[in-house]
Amino acid sequence: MIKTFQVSNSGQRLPQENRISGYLDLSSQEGKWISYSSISFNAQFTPQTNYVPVLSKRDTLELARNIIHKITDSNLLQQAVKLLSAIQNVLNTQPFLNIITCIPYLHAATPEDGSLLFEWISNDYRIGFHIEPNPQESSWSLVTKENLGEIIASGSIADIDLHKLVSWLLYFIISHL
Amino acid sequence: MDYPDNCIRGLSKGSEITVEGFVPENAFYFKNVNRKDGWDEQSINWEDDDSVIGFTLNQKNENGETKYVNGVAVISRYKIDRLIDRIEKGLLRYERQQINDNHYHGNILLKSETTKKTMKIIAAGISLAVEKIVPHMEIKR
Repeated sequence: MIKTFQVSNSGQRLPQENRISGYLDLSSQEGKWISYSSISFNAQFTPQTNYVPVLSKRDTLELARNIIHKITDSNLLQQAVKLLSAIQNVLNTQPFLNIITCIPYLHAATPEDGSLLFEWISNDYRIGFHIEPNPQESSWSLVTKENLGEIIASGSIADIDLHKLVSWLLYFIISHL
Repeated sequence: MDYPDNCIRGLSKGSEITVEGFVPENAFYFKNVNRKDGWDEQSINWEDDDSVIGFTLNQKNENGETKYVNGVAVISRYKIDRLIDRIEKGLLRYERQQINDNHYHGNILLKSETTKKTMKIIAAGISLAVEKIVPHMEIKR
């Protein structure tokens, strides 16, 4: 079932110029995420007959923040805070991203090798941030399945513009919900 | 050597399944066990028959406790082969390595000099090759 919708961050109707229009595919609700398509800003669209309020907002960083409090290594902590701050900053400054309730949780783990792992996980891809005791070894990675082109991408996260990297990765996520 | 379609990776403590039902990437990190042939290991059991999942779930530590408290992940060999084809030649392979009490045992192998960054990309690739997860239902958390 496809329903058109208008949403705002607060669930309130907004002036036309601040609305987002698009389609929710409610038939996919049995899956992990509700998918959407054809989202655009300031679009000209037919008056709505079905208004779907914003769903309860998922805080993608909730799980990652929880693990921050358990990190005792100041070196890891400093890098992790920098990364999570960059993600939060992107979400705060790019409302298009912030209203998407379907961004998966950023999972966090403390592997035995002394590193810190943050992951956005989907059926079709893995985005990882590997925080290492030696910051010069810290890296990000994107690996996808066949249906997304079997991408293998990676790079360092030391001495780069994290804001740009995170923006790119978040747009990848919402492009493949 | 013949290999079955799937291999089984036990999920130890620290490899907790996510709320969405995924295995974290670190469950597939390789270990340097000082092999003389220059490969790092990721221990698996080959799914030679229908009993292997149950066999793996029932494996115990030396102290008698359940080894894979988070269950097991069933990994597609086809997808591992795809991964082998996509990465640098000669970096990744697998083997059988029967041991005394486990004739299903084997390893996914990674060249020991591989950088940490590459190892973790490959681990992510293996995590995408997981076909299903079988939790350890008897474990009380």
